[in-house]
Amino acid sequence: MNLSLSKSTAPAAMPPVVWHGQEVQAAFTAYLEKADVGNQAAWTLFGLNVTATKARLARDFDELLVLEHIRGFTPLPHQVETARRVMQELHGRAILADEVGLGKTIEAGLIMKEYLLRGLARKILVLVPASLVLQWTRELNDKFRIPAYAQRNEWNWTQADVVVGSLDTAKREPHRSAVLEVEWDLVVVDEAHKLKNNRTKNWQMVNQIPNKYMLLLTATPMQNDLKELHTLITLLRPGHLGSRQEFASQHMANARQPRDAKELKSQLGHVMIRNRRRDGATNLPKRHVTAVPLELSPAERKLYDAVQQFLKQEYDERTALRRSVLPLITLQREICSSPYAAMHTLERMGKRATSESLRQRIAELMTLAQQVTTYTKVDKVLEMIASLDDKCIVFTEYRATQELLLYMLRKRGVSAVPFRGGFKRGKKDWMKDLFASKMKVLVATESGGEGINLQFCHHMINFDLPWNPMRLEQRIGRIHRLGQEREVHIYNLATRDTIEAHIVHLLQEKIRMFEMVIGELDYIVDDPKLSSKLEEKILEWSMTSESNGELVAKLEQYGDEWLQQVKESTTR
Amino acid sequence: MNPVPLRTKDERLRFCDAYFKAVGAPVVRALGNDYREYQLPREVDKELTDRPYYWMWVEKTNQDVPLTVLRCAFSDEALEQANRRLREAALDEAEQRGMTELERRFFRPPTAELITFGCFRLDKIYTSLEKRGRFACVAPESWNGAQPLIPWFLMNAIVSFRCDRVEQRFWSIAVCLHNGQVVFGFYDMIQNIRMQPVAPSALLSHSSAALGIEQACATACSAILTALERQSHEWADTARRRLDEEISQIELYYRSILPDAPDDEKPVIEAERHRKIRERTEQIGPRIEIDIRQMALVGLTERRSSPPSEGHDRDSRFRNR
Repeated sequence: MNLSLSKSTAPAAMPPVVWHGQEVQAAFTAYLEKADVGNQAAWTLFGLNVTATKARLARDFDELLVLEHIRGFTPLPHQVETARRVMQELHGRAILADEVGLGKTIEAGLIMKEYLLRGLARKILVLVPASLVLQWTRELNDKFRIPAYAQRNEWNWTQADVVVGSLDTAKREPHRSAVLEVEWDLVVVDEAHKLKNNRTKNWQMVNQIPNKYMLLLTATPMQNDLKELHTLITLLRPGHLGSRQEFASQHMANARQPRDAKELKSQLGHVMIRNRRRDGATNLPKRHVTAVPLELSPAERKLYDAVQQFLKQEYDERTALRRSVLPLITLQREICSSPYAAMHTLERMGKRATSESLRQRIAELMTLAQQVTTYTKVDKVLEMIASLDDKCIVFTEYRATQELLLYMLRKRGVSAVPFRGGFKRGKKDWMKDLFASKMKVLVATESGGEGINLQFCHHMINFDLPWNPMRLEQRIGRIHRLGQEREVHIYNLATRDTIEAHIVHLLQEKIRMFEMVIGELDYIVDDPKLSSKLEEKILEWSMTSESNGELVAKLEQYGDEWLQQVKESTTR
Repeated sequence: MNPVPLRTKDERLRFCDAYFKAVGAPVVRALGNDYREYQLPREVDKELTDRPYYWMWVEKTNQDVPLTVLRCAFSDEALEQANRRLREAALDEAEQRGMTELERRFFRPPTAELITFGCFRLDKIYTSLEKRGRFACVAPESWNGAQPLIPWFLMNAIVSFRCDRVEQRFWSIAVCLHNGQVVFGFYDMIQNIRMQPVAPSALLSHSSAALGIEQACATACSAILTALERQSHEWADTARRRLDEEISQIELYYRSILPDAPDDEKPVIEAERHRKIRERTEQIGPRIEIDIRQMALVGLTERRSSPPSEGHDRDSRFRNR
């Protein structure tokens, strides 16, 4: 907008004028009446006040003041550009839909700070998953010097100017009433894909919150249905893509296919910004992925084979009786992790066994498990960590394996801390800080999903693999993300002639997701139909394949289908 | 456009030096051009450090606490050097006193702070200046008390052109109390004249003053409005159009969902529609906000009575003679 001070030829009506500080005149009169000869420095102070005022002016509609206010990091060009566009073109109501790890938080922080500096926002509400409240609060304070306050009780909503809290808390009474009473200037919702259904409490809550500016952050603005987009946009600009019916008839060919992709995209451009890695949004340092092949010890091999035999038998029986094969998937995955992990499930199955023969078979497996005295994978990890002159994260899917690892590491005198999804957020932060400052190893059972950033670490050992590419990517994303300045090394342990070796091959070689962009996976792997079925499929293939060759062929085919989907989604 | 103030470390240093001198906080240590330690009088301390409970405790219990020393580094290097020096000094002193193992482990040396644009301390100084630098009553230093002074009423204001975005101007308007002449960009014209504080009576008691403060203020305000009316308000038109469009979209949306809503929910939905329209209007609706920040009485000697027109006043085109 060009704000020319020159006389205009075709005058547009002058907008209303609002005066502030008219009480200054009364105060000035009082000052003159009271003052004899004023403070010697009065004129200096007067002049300094002019300087301070001029220094903080928003001299231009378009310039970003925030860039002069951040210290200790430099926002990436796409982040600055996004912040600029959100304010200038999208007028402060937008979906920030960058792919995972491109820094939506930074973009939101830039926008928040800019509005604060310009006096356009004072009361700001940031709603994030409970596990991220402290992290957001910290980042806003450290990176942007925004005095953000982590919400603790119902009074905080009104007391603090910038409040970070969780949507789950906010939607419960007495918080709900408190939040809805405040005239918020800016509302930011992280993980906004939780708002894609307008019949949920989440959506209804956010729809009720008074706001002037609003940012919705999500890497997956749409997962199953184009209508989800309409629902999100209704929070920002109701009616922007027409009514629900109009949207469906004008823009949708079917639930997943837009009628005219180009047209929809250009319409979306008014409310959504999505940066993608393959558009050159960022270049991360290289990621090295290595498979570490291992040979099971005779005792371990005996156990593994016995478990496989047991699984096959059980699988046939259960599928014949249409009973759940879920425990079998668990056992299959656990036996790949460690005998320790498998023993828990075996014990449970033993207790629930309906026949004496089954109980007997399980007891035999337990005996075999107890006979394993050296753990090939654990030994390998200890060896790898000893040769590493750097911090390292070890990921496992199982608590039992985690405890075993921690025990063995400590026995060797290696400093290590645990990390679990079940930890309260304070403990998560504490463990992270301990790992950053003092410890060599972090043994984690989950990636913390939408959590914790560990860019200071450059090595990761996957003790076992999740059977889901997205989960694996989330693990890797803990260290291989924006802010990582060095190359990272990922080691996948793969015991020969076990299903694990095939999984490693599938995830690492076939799908080669490690070299692919995650943004494409956002869409595909997050498709619940695809990922929840995957575990079941793998078990089915491994149980029903007559030969190793057949299993490999099936996995290969699955990989191909996968790649096909990726291609389709990228050209979509 | 004039360079924007306080964007370089040298400017910030000069600004801080001038501020602390003006509020009577002596420099107790100065190293080169980027490090200062200022000793704060109690009143200044209260304004610049955020610790009301501490002061409550000090005052309620009549404590005699030492004056705070603010350690300000104006560059990263200066900060690093200062912190190193502070650490060594504190460690030496502690060692001489004798330290237990536990004390050593939890040893926390004092640190300096980095003064950057947008830092906490500068923000505090701005707030302090808003109070201390709001009014003045001055005449040139060269005035000997005998020459007649022409009194000018000076008003500084921030003018914000606001819709969902904002652009601001610093306007300095003066009204001559003798003849009602209005001058825009006044502060910039006189800022280089060295001034001394004078008693208001020296400027106001003359019977020749045709205008009182109240009238002068009203004149200044109406001059601002006149100047604003002459400007282009394209931006406001654009904003108004966008607001209309948003409102019609909101209306469309609620028209589409109302018929299907159960009767008992209709009033709720109506209220929601009203709220959203109100919120959009508050956000986008264009307006001009004028925030009066400072006032002063400035006496100029006869020779200066029509202010110098040379110089850097970019608002001079508003001069309204």
